[in-house]
Amino acid sequence: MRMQRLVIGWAIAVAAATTADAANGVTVQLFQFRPGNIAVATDTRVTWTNQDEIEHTITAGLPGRPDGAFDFTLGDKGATASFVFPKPGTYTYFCRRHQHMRGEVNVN
Amino acid sequence: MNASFRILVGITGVVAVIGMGCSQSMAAHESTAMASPAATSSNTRAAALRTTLNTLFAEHVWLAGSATGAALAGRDADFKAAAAALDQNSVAIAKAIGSVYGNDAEQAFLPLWRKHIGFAVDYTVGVATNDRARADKAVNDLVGYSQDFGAFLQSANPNLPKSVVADLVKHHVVTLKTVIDAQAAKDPEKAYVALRTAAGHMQMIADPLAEAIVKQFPDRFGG
Repeated sequence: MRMQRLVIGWAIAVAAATTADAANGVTVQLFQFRPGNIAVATDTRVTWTNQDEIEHTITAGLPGRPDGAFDFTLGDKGATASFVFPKPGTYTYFCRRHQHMRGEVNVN
Repeated sequence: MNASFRILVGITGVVAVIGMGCSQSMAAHESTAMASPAATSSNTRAAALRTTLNTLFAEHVWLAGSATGAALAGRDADFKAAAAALDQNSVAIAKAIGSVYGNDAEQAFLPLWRKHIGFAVDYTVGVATNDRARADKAVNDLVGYSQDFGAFLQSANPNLPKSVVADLVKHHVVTLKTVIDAQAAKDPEKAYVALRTAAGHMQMIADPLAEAIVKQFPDRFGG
C-alpha cells in the first residue's frame, strides 16, 4: 500500500512537472512561434523547441534592433534553447533568418 | 478567402463541370465504356485544388516576367502595375495555403513568399545597373530561400521532402533568371521562350503540392 502511494505521488509529481514545462514552452513550427505570446512568472525558464527542418534563431529585441539579452540558434528539427527571465517586463524576440517571425514573453 | 481566390476556384469549378460534360458526352458514344462517372470525373475537390495551384503558380511567373521586363525597359507605370498584380497573386497563393493549413500558416507563408520576390527584384536591379556583386548576392539569397521554402512545406506536409521541394524551387529560380537575363540583353524572342519554359515548370511544383495535400487530407479532397 505504501509503495502504491509512493508510485502515485511520483506520477503526480512527474505530471505536474510536465505540465509546467509545456506551459513554459514555445514550439517553433511552420515558421511561427507557438504560442506567439507567453506569460510567465519571474525566474521562469522558457524553452523553445524547433519543429522545422531549418535553422531558426531566438534573438531578443526587434529586427534591426536586437537588445543582446539573448541570442540562441536552433540548428535543426528537435533543437532546443532555454532562458530564465529574472525580471518582470515584456521581452520581444524574433528570428534573425526569418524576420517576420516574432514572439513575446510577458514576465510578471 | 479573398475575391480573386474565390473567382479562381469558381472558374476551376466551371471548367471541371464543362470537362465532366464533355467526358460524359464522349462516353455516350462508347457503349463499351464501363468506368463509373465518379472515377472519370474531373469535377472533384482534388482536381480543383490542383488546377488552382497550377493557375496561381503559372500566373506568378507571367506577372514576375512582366514586372522585370517593364523594370529593365524603364517602363515605370507598367512596372508598378505588374508589381501590384504580382503581389495580389502572392496574396492569393497565401490564401490557397491558408485554405488548407489555416490562417496562421497563411500569415507565415506570405512574408516568406514575398521574400523571394524581393530577391528577384535585387537580381534585376543588379543586372540593370551592372552590379555583379548585387546580382550574385541575390542569386545566393534565392538559393538559400529554396531551403526555407522546402522546410516550410515539409513542416506543413510530411509528404513533401524538403530537399525535393528545394530543388524544384532552385529550378524555378534558374528558369526565371534566364528570363531576366534575356530581357536585360534585349532579346525578346529568347525572353518569351524562356518565360514559357519558366511558367511551364511551375507545374512541377504545383502538381506534387496538390498531390501531397490530397494524400494528407483524403477526407477533404478525396473523391
